[in-house]
Amino acid sequence: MKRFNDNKKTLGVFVIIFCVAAAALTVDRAKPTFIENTFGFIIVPLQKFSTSAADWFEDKANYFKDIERLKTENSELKEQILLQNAKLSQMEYLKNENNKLTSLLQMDNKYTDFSTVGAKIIAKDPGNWYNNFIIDKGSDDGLMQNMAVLSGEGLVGRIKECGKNYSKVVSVIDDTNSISGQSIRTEDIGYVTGDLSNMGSCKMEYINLDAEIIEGDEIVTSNLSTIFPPGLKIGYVKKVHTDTNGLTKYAQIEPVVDFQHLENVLVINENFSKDYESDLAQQAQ
Amino acid sequence: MRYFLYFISVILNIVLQSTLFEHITLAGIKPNLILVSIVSIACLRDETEGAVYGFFAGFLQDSFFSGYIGSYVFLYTFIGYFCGLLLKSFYRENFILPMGIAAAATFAVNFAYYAMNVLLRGYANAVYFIGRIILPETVYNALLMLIVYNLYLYINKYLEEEEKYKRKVF
Repeated sequence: MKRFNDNKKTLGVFVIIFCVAAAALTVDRAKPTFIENTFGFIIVPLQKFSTSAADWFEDKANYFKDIERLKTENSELKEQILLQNAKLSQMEYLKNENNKLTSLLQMDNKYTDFSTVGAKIIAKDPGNWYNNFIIDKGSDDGLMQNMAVLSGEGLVGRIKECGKNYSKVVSVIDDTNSISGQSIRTEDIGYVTGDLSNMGSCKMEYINLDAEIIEGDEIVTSNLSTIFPPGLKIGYVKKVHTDTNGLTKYAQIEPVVDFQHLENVLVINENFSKDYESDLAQQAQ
Repeated sequence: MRYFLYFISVILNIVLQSTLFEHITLAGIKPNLILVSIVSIACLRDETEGAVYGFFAGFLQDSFFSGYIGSYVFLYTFIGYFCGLLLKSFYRENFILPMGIAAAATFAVNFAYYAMNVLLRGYANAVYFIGRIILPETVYNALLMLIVYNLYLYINKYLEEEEKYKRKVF
């Protein structure tokens, strides 16, 4: 203890140097290190247990409350099913027609359906500044960095880091993430990032000033994205502003996914970045 | 025994903070159990143990959740050290003072984190973030400190009683 007190300043400087060096070495790493994988083996099972225990208690607490609600919801849903079935048969017809026409035009429809893996969210970021979370599948289940993560409603985010038995997902409402997006109606392109000064929503930046984007437009991932397949739903435009520089516009976007109550996600286990590279190589030849 | 319990508590804090504390958010803000534990231990023991505990807790949190290792290691180590320095002579059973210290530490850590990471990404409206994120967490942490500090106080009393007899050997 006495020795520590004598070397206080040296130790303080050492800690600072350690932090700076660690930050410089680990920023933007592609793979988690051995240390993190070891932590993963200890922490992930505990997190799984803790999350499922919390879910179980919540489930039991809501049991009686849910019965009334479920009854009304059930009758509503039955009505909806009838309507949807009618629509579906119409869709089926349109799909067939579409297939015929696309084959006539010789367009490739390789992005229309992709294989997915289901995963459960086991932990969220401990701080209040970020919107990352951890899912219970990793490279052992065939996942890789930069794979797209979806929920039933739309795009959730992408895998930032892939450990052996866990993956770190950065969501679309996190401001360290940015996606190339476009509006379906007008095909205007912009970058979608999270907005920290408006928590729980994102914004689309660098939209062309002449773009005819308006409130209520649907925003999806664009075909320029090197990570995401095109056409994944991100959200709806809430408001359009002109930037202070007067050269571009930005739009506030309400994401379709309810990030507060997200429990299960789907991961598209195909890496699209590779596809694009091989496409480019083919075009070059 | 003491160090084994520290190890358990670091792991347990990280796990609880990332899973269970999601369910007790108020207006999207959750308290920080890890920071509160560091402040408790620094207050109850001394600056050395606070700093070492903070170092390992920060390392675990950074390596598992942050984009890079470093910022929480730095912040937690120094907050553990300074909280240990501040509270050299006071009655441990007095828990108002630790609550104040926890509030001050939360404010300091979060503001430093904002200055180190968020500000540089172009979010210059500090007042908004203080009102939206930092102050609510400060209040929340001070309340959490009331529970956590008393828990650590109780465990620490038991451990010190046990250690009293072992020390004679040296």
